[in-house]
Amino acid sequence: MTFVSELQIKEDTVIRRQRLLIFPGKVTAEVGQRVQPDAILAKTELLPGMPVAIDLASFFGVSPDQVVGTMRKRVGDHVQVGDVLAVMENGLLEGGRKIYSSPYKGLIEHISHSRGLLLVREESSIDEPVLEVNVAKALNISPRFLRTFCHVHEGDEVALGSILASIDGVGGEAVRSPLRGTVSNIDTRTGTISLLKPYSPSYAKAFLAGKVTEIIPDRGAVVEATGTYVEGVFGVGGEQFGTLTQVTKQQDEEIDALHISEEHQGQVIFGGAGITRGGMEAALENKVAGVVVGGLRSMDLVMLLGKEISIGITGHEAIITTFIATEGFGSVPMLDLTYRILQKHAGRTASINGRTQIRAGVQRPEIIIAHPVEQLPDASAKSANPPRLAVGSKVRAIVDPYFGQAGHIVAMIPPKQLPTEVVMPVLHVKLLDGRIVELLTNNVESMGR
Amino acid sequence: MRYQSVLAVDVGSTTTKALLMDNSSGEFRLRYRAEAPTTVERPVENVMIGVQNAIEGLEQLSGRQFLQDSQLITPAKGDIGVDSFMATSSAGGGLQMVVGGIWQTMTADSAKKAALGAGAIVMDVFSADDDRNPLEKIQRIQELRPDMILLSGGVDGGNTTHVTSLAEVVALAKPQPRLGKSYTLPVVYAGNSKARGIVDSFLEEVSIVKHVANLRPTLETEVLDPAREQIHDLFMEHVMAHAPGYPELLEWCGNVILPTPGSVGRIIDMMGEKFDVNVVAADIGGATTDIFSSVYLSYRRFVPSEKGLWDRGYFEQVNERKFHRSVSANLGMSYSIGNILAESGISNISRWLPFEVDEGRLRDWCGNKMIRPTTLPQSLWSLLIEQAFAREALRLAFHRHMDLARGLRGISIKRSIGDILNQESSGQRLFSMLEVDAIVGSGGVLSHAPRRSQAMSMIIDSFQPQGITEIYVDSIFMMPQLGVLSTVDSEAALDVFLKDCLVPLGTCIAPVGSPRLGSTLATAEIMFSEGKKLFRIQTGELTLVPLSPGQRVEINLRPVSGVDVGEGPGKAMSAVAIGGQVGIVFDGRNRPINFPRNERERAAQLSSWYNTLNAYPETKEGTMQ
Repeated sequence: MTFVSELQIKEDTVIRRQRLLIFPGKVTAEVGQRVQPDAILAKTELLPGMPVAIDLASFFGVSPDQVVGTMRKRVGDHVQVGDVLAVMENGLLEGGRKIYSSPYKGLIEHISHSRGLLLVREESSIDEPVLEVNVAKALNISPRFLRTFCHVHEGDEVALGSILASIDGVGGEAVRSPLRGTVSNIDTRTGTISLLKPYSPSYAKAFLAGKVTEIIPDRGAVVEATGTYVEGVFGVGGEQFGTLTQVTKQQDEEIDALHISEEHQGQVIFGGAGITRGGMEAALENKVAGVVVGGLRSMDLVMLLGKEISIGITGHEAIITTFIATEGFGSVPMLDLTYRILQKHAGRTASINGRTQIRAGVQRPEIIIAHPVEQLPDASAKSANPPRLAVGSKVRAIVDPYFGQAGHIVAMIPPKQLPTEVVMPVLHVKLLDGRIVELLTNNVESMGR
Repeated sequence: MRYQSVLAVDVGSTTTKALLMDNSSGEFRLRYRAEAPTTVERPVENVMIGVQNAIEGLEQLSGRQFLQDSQLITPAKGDIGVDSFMATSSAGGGLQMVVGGIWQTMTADSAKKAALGAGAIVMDVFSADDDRNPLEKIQRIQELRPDMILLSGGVDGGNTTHVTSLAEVVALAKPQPRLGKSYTLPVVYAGNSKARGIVDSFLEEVSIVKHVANLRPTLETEVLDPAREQIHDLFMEHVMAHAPGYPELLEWCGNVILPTPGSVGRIIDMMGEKFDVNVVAADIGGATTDIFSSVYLSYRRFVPSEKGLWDRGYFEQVNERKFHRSVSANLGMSYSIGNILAESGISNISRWLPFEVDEGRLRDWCGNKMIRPTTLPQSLWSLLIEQAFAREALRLAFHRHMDLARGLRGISIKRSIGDILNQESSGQRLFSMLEVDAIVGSGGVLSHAPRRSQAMSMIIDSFQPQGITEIYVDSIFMMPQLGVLSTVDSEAALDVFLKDCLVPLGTCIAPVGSPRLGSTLATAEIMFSEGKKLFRIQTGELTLVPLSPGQRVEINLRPVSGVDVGEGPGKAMSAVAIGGQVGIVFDGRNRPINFPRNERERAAQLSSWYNTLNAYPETKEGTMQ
C-alpha cells in the first residue's frame, strides 16, 4: 500500500477553536465580535486545583449518611463566608442546636453521602482585604521576637489551619492560618502576620485573531479565523502569541544565544535546523514567547524539563517559552516550504501551541498566522483524503541519513534487499540537490503532487 | 464450526495485518498475508481505510476478489469472497481500564488480574489504602479518561462503606469520553453483593453499571471469570462501537472483535494445554507489550477452615495449570518507545549495542520513532538500536508479568511449626524460569527481524531463560488472528498455528550458578547421529551448535558443583533438545547477564556474542555508524 502521512501546511484555510473555561464562569464575548488573540471571552473566579473538603460527619459526630439531612445548601449553590451550611437539631440533653457556618466563599461542588464530606470550590475576589493575624498577642511574646517563632516566610502559601507560628517549635501552642492564602508581610513592629487571599481568576482568551461564531453558555466561545496553518511534529509549552520574527539567515542554520536579545521579548522567533542549549536558555531569559525550529534535541529538552519525554504528551509544562519542532528530533533543517511561509508572514502575529499527543486523539503543535480581522476572506476547509504515492509525488524523508530532505519520486521499485537484509519495495526519490536515493514507503511523508 | 475460508485481520496500533486461511489443499493453512498502516488516528480517523487497504493487498497477492464497492463479499460465492471474517484490535489504545478495590494487595490486586486477564491495559489501580485522598483520585480519573472501570471490594455480606465510597469517587470524577461524545462509561461492579444498590445509586447517572459475581466472595477465594466475560462484552457493546470506523468493522465480523491480548492468550493457553508444556509468550507491539504464561504448577494452596477465628485453615498440595496474562501499557516499539527509555534508562538500552553510543543521537532516534511511529529501520545502525529497545521492553514487561503471576495475597494463615520453617507466604511467585519449557515471541520486531538469529538473541537476552528452554517465534506475526479463529474452530487454529505460525528457532541451554569468570559451568555431551560430541559451557560465553528444524538430539548435561541446569545444583541430567532455524545455544553468561564496565570492552563483548549467533551482517566496531 502506498498510503502515507501528509505534511499539514495550509494557506488561506479556516481555523476554528473552542475556547473554554475550566470551571463555569461569566461569558463576556458576543457572536460576531471581532477579537484579537489576547481578548478575554470568559472569566471565572473559582480557584483551580482541588476543592476544599469539610468533614461535616466529624463536626456533628454523626454517621456519613445523616449529613444530608443537616444540609441547608445544595450542590451548585454559591456561598459566602459565614453562611449557614448545615444545622444539626439535637435535643437539649444532647447539646441542643449545632450550626456549621461556611469558612469559605465559593461554590458547593458535592455532598458526599458515603463519607459525610462537603466539597467547596473556593472563589477569589479582587476586593479581598488583607487579613492581619496578631501572632505576638496570641503567643504572648514581644513583637520584636516574632520571626524567632514563625513557621512561615513572606511569599509562602498557607492552607487553612496550617501553623503560622508556635512557642515550642513543633506547634503545641500555635497560631494557625484562618484561611488559604499567601503570607504577604511579617511585621516585627506590630507583631502581626498579614495574609492575602489568592486572587487568580481564570480566563478563556481568544488565542486567534478572528470572529466569535458561537457562545457556549457559562464556559466560553468558538473563535473562527482565516489564515495560514502550519503543523509541527513535536513541541513543549502551551499557548502563546507574538510577532513572528526571523532570527537565522538560512533554514539549515541553528539558533544560538547570539541570535536572541531583549528585543525578542514576547515574540515568536523562528530559525532553521534547531536551537542550541544556550539558545534555549537565552530564549527563556529574554521571555521569548515561542521558538519554531526544524529540530529540537531530545537531550536538551530533557535538561530543560528535568524529566524524560516518555509517552509523548506535552503542552502543560510550566515554561514561559513554547518550543516547536517542525521536522523532528536532532538538528534537522526546516523544510524549505515551511521556512518560506514563515518568512512570508514575518512581522505578523502568530498564535502557537506546543501541545503534542502522539496517539489516542492525536494532537500536533501548531503555528497559526491569522489574517487581520478586518480582511477576513471567505474560505472553506479542504477535505483530508489520505494521500497515495505515485511517480512524481513530492515527498520528504523522515529517517536518517536524509531526514528532512524533500524531493520527488522518480521510480517505485519492487521488493529488494536493504542493508538491514530486510526485503521490501523501495522508492527512488530525487532530492532537491539532484541525488537519487532509496527510501522505504514508510519512511517518507507526502507533500502532495 | 468449520469454514472453507477465513479472512482475519488484526488492527494493531501501528499496522493492520490481514490473513487469508483456507483448506483448498485439504488442510486448513495460511495462504496469504498483507498489511497496511492502521488509520484509527488523525488525519484519517477511520479504522476501515486501513482494513480495506490490507484486504486490497490480499487481493493483489491472491488474485482473488474480497471487496465489492468497499464492502466485504461474505460468504464466498465461487471464486470470490470469504466464508468468514474475523477481527482483533489493539488500536486506538486498546481497552484502557481503571480498577479499584479496598485493599491494594487483596481486592484491588484481584481486580487488576481480572482486567489484565480480559486483555485490558490497566492505567491505574485505586484502593482505600493507597496514599491518595479522594480528591486526588477524582483528578486522576479525570486525567486518565478510561474506557471502562472495574470496581471490587468487600467479601459478600461484609462492610459496604469503603466500596461505596470508591463508587462515589467514580461518580464525582464523571470521566469524559475518550471515544466520542455519546459514549457512556461502563462500570463493572464485582464487589460485595450487599452494596449493589448503593453503588447503583451513585453511578446510574454517569455510567452504565453491570453487576457480576464478587471477585473475592471470601478472603481465601478468587472468582475472576465472570468479571472477565463482562469486560469482553462491554468492550464490544460500548468501547469498540464508539471508536472511529469500528461500528462498520463490528458489522463485518458479526459483532465480535477480540482485544488482541485476549486473542493471543487463547492460542498460547491452547498450546500449553495441548502439549502439556510450560510456555511463556510475548507479543511486542507499537504501543504495548503483552506477556502470557501457561504453566503447570505444583504448589501449596491455602484452604480455609470453618472452625473459627483462631484456626483459619491449612495448606494443601495442588497440581494444576494456570494461565496468566499481563499487558504493559506504554511499553511498545513505536508510540510508546519514549517510555521504554524513561523506564529503562539510557544505559540499559545502550548496553545492548555493539558500539560506543552517542547518547544524544540515541535519544533523537527514539524521539523520531515516537513521533513518526510507522517508520522502519533502513540502516543496520537503526536496526540494532530498535532491537536494543525491544530487549528492554520485553525485559521490563516480563518482570511485571512475574510480579502478577503470584498466589493470592492478603490471606490470613495460621501456621504450624513446619509452615514457619518452610517460610511459605501468601503472594509468592508461582513459577521460576527453570520450570519454563518454551518461550514464544511475537510482534513485528521479532517476527519481521531480518535474521531469525536476531529474534533468538532478543528473546534470550530479555527473558534470560534458565536450564533447558525451547525458543519459538511467530513466523509472520499471526497469533492474534489464530486466537480469534480458535473461538469458532480450535482445530483449524491449532493446525495453522503449528504448521504456519510457530517457527522453532532452537534450544537455549543456560546453566545458572555463580562460578568465576572463565571457568566451566557445565559439560554437554550431544548424541548426534554421527556420534557423540562434547562441549564445555564457559562462564560469560555463548556457543552455537547448528541443528536443523525437525532434528532432535539427546544431551547429557553435567554441571559443576553449585550450578543448576534444571535438576538442582550440581546434579547431572539428560534431556532432548530440538533444532531450529538457529540451533542449540549454550548460554554461559549467568543470570542476570553481566556486562564489562569499560565501554570499549562492552562493545567488543557484544560484538563477540552477536557474531557467535551470526545475528548481524557485520558487527565490527564503528562499521554501523
